[in-house]
Amino acid sequence: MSFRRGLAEEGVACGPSRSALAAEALRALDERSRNDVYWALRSTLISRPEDRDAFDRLFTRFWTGQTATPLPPSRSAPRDPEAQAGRPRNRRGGDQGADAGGGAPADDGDGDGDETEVGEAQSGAVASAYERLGSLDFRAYGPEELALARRLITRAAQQVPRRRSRRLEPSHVGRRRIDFRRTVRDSMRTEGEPLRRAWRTRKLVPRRMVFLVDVSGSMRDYAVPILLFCQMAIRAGRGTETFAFGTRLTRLTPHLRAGSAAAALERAVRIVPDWAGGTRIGANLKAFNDDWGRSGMTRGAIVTIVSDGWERGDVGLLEEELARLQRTSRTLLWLNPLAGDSGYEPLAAGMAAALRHVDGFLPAHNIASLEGFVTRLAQLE
Amino acid sequence: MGQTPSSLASIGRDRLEELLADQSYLADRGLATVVTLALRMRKPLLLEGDAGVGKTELAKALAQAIGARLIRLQCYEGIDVAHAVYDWNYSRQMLYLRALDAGVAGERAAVDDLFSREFLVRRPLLEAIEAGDGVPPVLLIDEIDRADDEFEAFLLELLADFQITIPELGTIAAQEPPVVILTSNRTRELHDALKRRCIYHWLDHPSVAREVEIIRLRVPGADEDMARAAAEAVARLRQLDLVKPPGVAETVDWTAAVVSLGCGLRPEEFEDTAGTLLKHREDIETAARFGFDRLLEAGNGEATSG
Repeated sequence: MSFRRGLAEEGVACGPSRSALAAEALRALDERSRNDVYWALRSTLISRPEDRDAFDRLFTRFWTGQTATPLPPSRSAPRDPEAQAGRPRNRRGGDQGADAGGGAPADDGDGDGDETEVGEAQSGAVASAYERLGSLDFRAYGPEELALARRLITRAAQQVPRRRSRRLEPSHVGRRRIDFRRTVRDSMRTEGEPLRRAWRTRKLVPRRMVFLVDVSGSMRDYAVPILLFCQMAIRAGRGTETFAFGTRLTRLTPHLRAGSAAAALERAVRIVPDWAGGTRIGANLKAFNDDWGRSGMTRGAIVTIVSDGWERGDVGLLEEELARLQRTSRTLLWLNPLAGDSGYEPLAAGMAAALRHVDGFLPAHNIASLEGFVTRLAQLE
Repeated sequence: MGQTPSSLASIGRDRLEELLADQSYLADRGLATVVTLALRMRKPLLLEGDAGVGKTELAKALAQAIGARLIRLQCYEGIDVAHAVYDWNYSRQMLYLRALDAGVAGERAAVDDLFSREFLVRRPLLEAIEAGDGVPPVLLIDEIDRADDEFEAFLLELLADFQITIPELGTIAAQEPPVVILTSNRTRELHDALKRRCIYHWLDHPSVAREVEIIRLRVPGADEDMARAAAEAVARLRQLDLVKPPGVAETVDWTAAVVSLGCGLRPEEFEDTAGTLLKHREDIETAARFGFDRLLEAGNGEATSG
């Protein structure tokens, strides 16, 4: 079915079992009016509200008979520059762009030592490369470093914190309660006498985490390693969510979860329409609170914002939405790659305002700082 | 699809719309089409949408409309087989064991007795499976996003073949698979495997014209003018920046409150009844800033499109 391929082109995952379902739905219709066909296909081919726009675009083309070329021109045009921006650059230079330079007051202090470290890591033994990698600033990463870092970042991301679930499991320790089912069963062995009591206790499950990652121009050297961390947390935990934002909010969770990790990360980077563009943190937090926070995604969750705090929009709005986010989440943390510099002070207007509303503020400029973040998560429980 | 009860599969979309309207549920054409498909294809219907758009209400209305029993399973975190499918009545089992001490029956028979239907506690899913003679029941699995992965996986299996195995009793299969409606508020994404089995529908807030009809139907004391004013005010509210925009349920509650107080829709008295419509202090403040008088202005067309 070419319609399904068209959806895939639009970035909407749609397996063969769905087209079988769609065919069945079409057969079940009394008439094949445009309206009926629309609903039959929509209710079987997609199952996310955010896919509705792509579906509608495609359906219009499909119905008006332009199905020979189901290629969406909207997305394929800006693909090339996005792909390039997504690839971490080999060396850092003065080409960070006008918006990045302004956004990073502490940017120029700590760079000099990094470049020599890159050279050594490339020629050195793997063990020492790992060791060095821990403290190497993400900004100095090239493709080799990212490949090496994958394992370390994965290991860090897998240590997600746990919480007590309402689900019970057999246990002998802790705050336990009687497991009647097993007690009665076991009593069969002792002629109906419940000699041994069986117990159960509340199970430990991974706590939900939500990552909101700034992918604007001033963050572009950090975004890929950070998203790699998020991706591994998604795959290790349960219900972990990742969103990217610059000028608008993009939910990356399904893209980061599907398929092989490396390919999924590349795809996720391509899908963000405003990669390495401007930032409106407040407006994006608002979009998140309205579309996702309100329905309960943040309840009981650890919400982590990764951003340099360089707000181009309204700082008042940023404060308001942060306060809202802090109220609905269990813990609100802010990771700032610039905070890795010893001389860092939260001078950016957005950052200064944000500090009043977060439960923790940590650096995120290298693997060691991500490990520090994970340690902090463990202490929260 | 040959074994489906012809009565349900033969209901056309327009007929279904009428049947639902008889139950005071006004479905738009998209929803009616999708429900018709779900009935014909015997697939579960997965409904998502903002709180208060009428997801749960649809299941209730549908059950009434097709003359079926409604069986509801409210999901929550940690829900398991003992809560959703069946459990044993342990206190009765214990008492029975005590009675046995007096030496009433032989041991073999006693064990069989202990795990017989007499001691079985039926929970909603087992009820739905056993209820199928004549019209299959409507099984509402409410807020499935609140349950955890384990339960979702279990449900996936159940929805595939509608049979349950109780180790002590054997396998119980449904004669008529129930009509299944799942709802989710999207606090988390459901597994794709579950979604693929379902017909999916996203419920939006109704248009102003439709909401007027709903109010007229649900609040008999509200006349056309009041219903229109209320629907337009709510449509304007939904365009404001609210923490929780009101759903249809709130519109109906609000209009009913206004009717029962007999005060009419006047800006001066808006705040007295606002609690039925807006459930956050910030939202009432936002509405006040916008102006209660502007909110209740007679239709000038600006909000009627939504």
